Amino acid sequence: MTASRASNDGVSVGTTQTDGLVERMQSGDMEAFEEFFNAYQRPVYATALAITRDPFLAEEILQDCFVTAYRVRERLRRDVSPLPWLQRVTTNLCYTRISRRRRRLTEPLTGLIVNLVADLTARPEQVAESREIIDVLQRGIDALPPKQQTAIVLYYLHGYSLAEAAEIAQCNVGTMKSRIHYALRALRARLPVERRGLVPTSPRLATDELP
Amino acid sequence: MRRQLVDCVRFGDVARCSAEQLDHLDGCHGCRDEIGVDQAVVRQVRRALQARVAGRSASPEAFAQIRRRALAESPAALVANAAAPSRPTSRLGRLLQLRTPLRTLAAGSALALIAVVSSGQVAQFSASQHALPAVRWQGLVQTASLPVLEPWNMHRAIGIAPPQRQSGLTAQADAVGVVASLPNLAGPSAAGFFK
Repeated sequence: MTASRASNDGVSVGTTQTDGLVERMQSGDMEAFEEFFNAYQRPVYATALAITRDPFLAEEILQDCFVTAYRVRERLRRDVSPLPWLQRVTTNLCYTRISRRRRRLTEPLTGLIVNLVADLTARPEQVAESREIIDVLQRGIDALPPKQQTAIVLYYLHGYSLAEAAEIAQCNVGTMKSRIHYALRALRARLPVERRGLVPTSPRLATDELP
Repeated sequence: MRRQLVDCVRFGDVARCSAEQLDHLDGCHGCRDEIGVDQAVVRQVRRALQARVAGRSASPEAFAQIRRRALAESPAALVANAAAPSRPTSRLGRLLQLRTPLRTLAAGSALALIAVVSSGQVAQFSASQHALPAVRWQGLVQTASLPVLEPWNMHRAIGIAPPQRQSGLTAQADAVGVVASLPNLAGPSAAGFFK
């Protein structure tokens, strides 16, 4: 049995499928399909929402993803977690929807974001600054190419390892690193210099502080 | 070297930095600042991504709609639309796929055979027939038109009346013929061989 671990969503992303859900689904058990949905819907929805920023579109993608899973349930592997495959389907659906949406819209749907991260214990000017930074980054993430968006969503939001993120994105680890690198570079370029790392006001990083 | 150091730290590979790189980092304020900035940007990106999904979840009706859509599709449409999670890329895999129509025809015929044998209607079916008329057999109801199915999709060919949803129907096809069996029904197990 292969070891598995939990992603930031608390869902096993390891390679072992131990609970027999897929087998039960394959035998036509609709309750098993509901359990399957409940087990994996959260990370799937989070991926769709993080990429599209549109709750309605994310829910459509969630539905399409699980209907597809039901359609091909006979061919789902029983010995591995279905989550990487579900995430792959989700990101592919997102690519399709985003390309359609970009043809229709000239501006990203920034207005849909509410409750931007704000540290309520901070001073008002710090809260405003934090919101401004997050807002700039939201627009920056929207402007990234879809594959780079997906890369940072998988790696930084879900906490997948490079290998897992690469498997989902169907690329090699080097390509995944490269996508993350270029995404971060583009996002960093959008931040005003004085807001990037707050370096001028922070003590320099000591070697022993590295993660 | 700076790019390598930033990558090492960004992807948690500090242990894989060479001694030379670490020595350089120890004395290079520029590299340390660069790593510090990168870490700060990553923190902000994480916060931005978390803000996108914070407090949001799928609607409570989501599964009901998925269920309705999944069940609304006919078995034939499901089979026709089903895309494999992974496609065989090897030459052998492609060759096997080319043989699929023949194997599915044989597998369908085997299903016909076992259903017919079990229901005592052997005489009505020829060996090559793969479209079954309605047959009731041990709680199974055969649909009137049986599409040509992959062996692993054979259970779609029969509507299984609850509570016997898990038929355990299996079929194996090779160059010689097809063996199909229904081992887990309430009644005695059944198996058929089609050549």
